[in-house]
Amino acid sequence: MRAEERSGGWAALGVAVLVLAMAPLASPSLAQSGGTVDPGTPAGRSYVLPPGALIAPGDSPTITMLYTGNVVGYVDPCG
Amino acid sequence: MARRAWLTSQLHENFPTTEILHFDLGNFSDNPTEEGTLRTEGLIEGMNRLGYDVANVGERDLSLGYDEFVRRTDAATFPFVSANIVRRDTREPVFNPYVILDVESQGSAKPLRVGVIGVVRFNPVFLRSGPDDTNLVILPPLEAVKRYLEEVRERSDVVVLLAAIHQDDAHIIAKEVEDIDIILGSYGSIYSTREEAEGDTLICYSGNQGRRIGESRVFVDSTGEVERITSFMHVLTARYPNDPEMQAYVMEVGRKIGEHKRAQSDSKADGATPPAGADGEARGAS
Repeated sequence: MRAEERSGGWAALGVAVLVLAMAPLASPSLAQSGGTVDPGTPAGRSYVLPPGALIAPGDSPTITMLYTGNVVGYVDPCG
Repeated sequence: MARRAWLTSQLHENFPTTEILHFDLGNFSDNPTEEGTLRTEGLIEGMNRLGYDVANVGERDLSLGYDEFVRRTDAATFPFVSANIVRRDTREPVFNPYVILDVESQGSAKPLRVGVIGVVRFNPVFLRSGPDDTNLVILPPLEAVKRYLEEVRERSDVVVLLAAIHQDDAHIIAKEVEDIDIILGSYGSIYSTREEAEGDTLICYSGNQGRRIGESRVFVDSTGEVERITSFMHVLTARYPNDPEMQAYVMEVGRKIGEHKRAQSDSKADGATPPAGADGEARGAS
């Protein structure tokens, strides 16, 4: 029992060390993406708004397109 | 709709020099009942107030046929497009296959020309009454896009396809033809969780029932070429405030529908028979 506990403790310590060792590798990609977008989504081409923001900041576009589809008569309450 | 209005006003406030274009991708109509017609008419007026620029026509919008569609959308201040809903006799579209919008753009002396084409999914068994005692059928969307794309491209700086078609079909169109800058799609409840592209064509799906609204910001360079497009998906939860004016309008529509329901309920209680609805079945079809 005690041996199992000790073994589990070493395993947890090993995982923690591994995570800490990988942290510097992970942080640049988070920084590039601002830590807000889906991993793998190229920066600047994401659907994800910055946390807490309802309007994404950025340069003024030439035009903005807003679009809805399959509204099927919903005036309220679905938006 | 009140949240859509709020979002529009905030975009105007944040980017005052940027023109906003509103598109409906098709199938905006409610069920073809009296109550549904009230909702559809209420929606059309709301779209007018939001400043919609173009709406694509979906199968659902023609469920009672062409004449009834025209009647129900008579108050619309924006055009309807469809390149592949055609008369069965002539194979010619009954709506504008496309429109070109001239949009004032910042820092440019001449307006930006936005070409907007509309298509609906291919349905070989679709048959509805059309104008002049004809019937309407639907052609394959790729065929229709190929027919008009070259002339739209020649006349436009930005080409947009409004597509009430499955996502896979949107990818096929983007693979088969070049020159579409962005496909804005709608099919069932499909919505994009990340930006998709096929070649240089971006593909964005915005879900259903107005619960989401897609936003695509188009950046055009000094030569009039599209430099980049950045898109966002707004999930219109309660986090988004209501625009007070539009909210008042939405409540007015709700009140009218409530009154109609009460009147129907009263007439049922009195044993009256409700009037028969319009018949949109295809002419000559059995």
